[in-house]
Amino acid sequence: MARPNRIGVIDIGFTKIAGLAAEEESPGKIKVIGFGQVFPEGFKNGIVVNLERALSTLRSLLEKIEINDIRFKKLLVYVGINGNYIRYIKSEANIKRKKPQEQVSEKEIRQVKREAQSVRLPPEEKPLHLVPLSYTLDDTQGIQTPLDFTNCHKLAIKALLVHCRSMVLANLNQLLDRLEIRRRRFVYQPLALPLTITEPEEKENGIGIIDIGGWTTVGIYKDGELQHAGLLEIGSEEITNDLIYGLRVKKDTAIAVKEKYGATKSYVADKDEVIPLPETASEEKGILRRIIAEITEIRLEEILLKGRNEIDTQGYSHALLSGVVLTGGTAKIPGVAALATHILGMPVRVATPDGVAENFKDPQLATLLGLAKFGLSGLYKKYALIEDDDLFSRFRRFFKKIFRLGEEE
Amino acid sequence: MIEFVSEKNAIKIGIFGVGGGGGNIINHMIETEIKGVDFYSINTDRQALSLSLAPNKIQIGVSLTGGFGSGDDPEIGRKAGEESQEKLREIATGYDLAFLIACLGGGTGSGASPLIAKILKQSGALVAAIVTKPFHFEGEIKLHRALRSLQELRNHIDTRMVIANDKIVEYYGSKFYGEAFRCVDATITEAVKGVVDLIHTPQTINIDFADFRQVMSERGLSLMSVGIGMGQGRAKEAAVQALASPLLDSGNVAGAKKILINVTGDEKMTMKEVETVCTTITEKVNKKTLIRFGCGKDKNLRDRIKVTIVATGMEEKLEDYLDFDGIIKDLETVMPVRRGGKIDKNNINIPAFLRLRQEID
Repeated sequence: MARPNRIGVIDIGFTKIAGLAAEEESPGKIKVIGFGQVFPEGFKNGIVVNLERALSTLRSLLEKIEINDIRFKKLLVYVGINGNYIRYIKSEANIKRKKPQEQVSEKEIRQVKREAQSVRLPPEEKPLHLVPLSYTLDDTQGIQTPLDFTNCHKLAIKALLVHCRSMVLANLNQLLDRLEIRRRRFVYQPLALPLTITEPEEKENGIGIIDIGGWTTVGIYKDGELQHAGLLEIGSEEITNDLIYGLRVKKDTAIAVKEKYGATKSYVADKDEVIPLPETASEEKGILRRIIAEITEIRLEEILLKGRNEIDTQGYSHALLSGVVLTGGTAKIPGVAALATHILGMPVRVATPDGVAENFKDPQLATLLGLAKFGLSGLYKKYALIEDDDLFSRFRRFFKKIFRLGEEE
Repeated sequence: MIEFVSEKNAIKIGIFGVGGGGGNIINHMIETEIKGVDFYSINTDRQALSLSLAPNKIQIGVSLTGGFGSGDDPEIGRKAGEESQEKLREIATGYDLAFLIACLGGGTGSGASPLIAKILKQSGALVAAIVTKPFHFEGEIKLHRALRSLQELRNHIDTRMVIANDKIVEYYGSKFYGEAFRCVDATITEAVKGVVDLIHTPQTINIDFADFRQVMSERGLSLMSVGIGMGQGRAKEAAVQALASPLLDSGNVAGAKKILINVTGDEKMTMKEVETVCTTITEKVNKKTLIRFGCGKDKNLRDRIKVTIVATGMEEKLEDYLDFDGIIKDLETVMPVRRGGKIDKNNINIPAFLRLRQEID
């Protein structure tokens, strides 16, 4: 079968839900075949708050994606999730090897991983991913993959166990069931976020990603892996709200003004540039652009300071050699990189997704395209939870696969 | 009778002119002989002070400026005030009502006024600031300074009367340069005199300091105005004139929460006339406005009727700041200050520019 691998992606963001169908054109190149985004009605802060509305939201999203005879429902769909219902804990585990002379096997690695994921979580929580950070063989730390190593007695792992509230996930599952999307995989967004906007080397050296969407995600990557992800409950929505308040305009106007004229103070060169305002409740006809900049900048500054605080408290203030990448819709505001450089005290660039067609090179789509790449490059396996290995579980998986009932492919 | 008057005089009123412009205005007041008040001229400029008619001349920032003025820099004005805080505190004590008068846009007036207002407020006085905004030809920088200063001021005062110089000149028509400024001075003097007389003079239906304070408690913008009518239809004329003062525009009076009307006339003033005055004014305001009415006799008025209006609690009209072409040019103008209560700096639901931009305490 020469048919290229085709996948579906749904990215549940805080101010929008986007989705696409994609296939791999050539290694590292993503070809988007269907794309759509909708306002997240029925969702709030990434959580389903109204099942019926959420369902119709996703239906209209699918309508937008399903052009060119794409049968989205038949695809393996990666669903990107994030929210304050997802957390992680640092987990360590080790096993004593029975036959030290032999090569470390896949089975042993699975065993130590299972050990690491068997942390007792509160009853309402459910594990989502196991992110292996590094392995230790005997006392040698920092081994990336211990497969086939010999002459060691102890195999240990350091990992992040990402877990989430099972109710939230159950609601999403119910929605996807009702949409007849049978094959789906949930992905914690920060795992996919860096894929189209950073180089592997940068992730090795240490890089921070501040994704300013409806809320702000701060991801810290070092030694090639996600080390920390934090969610700041502040973002583009606050900038919009400030403009609504300051300019006394409606939300639509505020968003339009933000997207068209939002900037940092130093970016506005013409001190007398006047922005016309549509008719509003009050009587002003226009506003100087630098005032819009002032309102925007002070909120941006607050967001970035919180981002810096997140990096500092994790102890990475001087450990991110490749600096920080800004992404998300708000990263498009002119002058934001310079402002961030100033606040964070490290090199900052605004990242646009790489390896996609020109019309998708938009910082706002970094997570969505990252998810596509995540799916296409088969990364899911790396972070997947290890399932029980007894005979019964294997049978169950086998039948699930045949009848395509479960959430796993 | 004498005893009665002295009792009334127990209300101590101080008028504090800050900076060059403020000094000029109180000079005008002293010439017009406003009685029963203490005048203070506060300035950094020794030369300007020496020309002042005020009995109390307070030089601030002596070591900072060497007595040569603030050089049109509000920062220096502010620092000068800080340097002489002790002296200011000393003179500020003991007043029930303080008028702070300044022309904003320059150095001393814009810089030192907020601090002086704060000190007066701390000393327990009811503080009414009467300030002017610069003429448009003085440029944007001055206007910006004035607005900035006003923004700081309004945290420390009970009520404020903001006068756009342009409006006054517009009202009086084209005048010579010096005369234009004179008009500004005269208008303010008239208003202050009206209020001071009101407080100090006993009358049939009396208005005293307590009433005045009650009206002033409605913070925000206020307007004070005086109108005089003569001969036939004098009542109507006086009321109309008071309403037509360049300090008042009828649209503004309409929004007043409280209004104080005082009618003074000679012995022949009829009840009908008093009624005419009141209805003419109350027609302009809305039904929810609280009206305090006073009425008295004054032999000196001879055939005339004098109407004093104090209106408070007006909504600030954005256009006052719009710099005449309807364009918002300063962030302060869109920052309404909430009465009482501090803004929680860590509450991200409050617009950031409100929380994080406050440089003053």
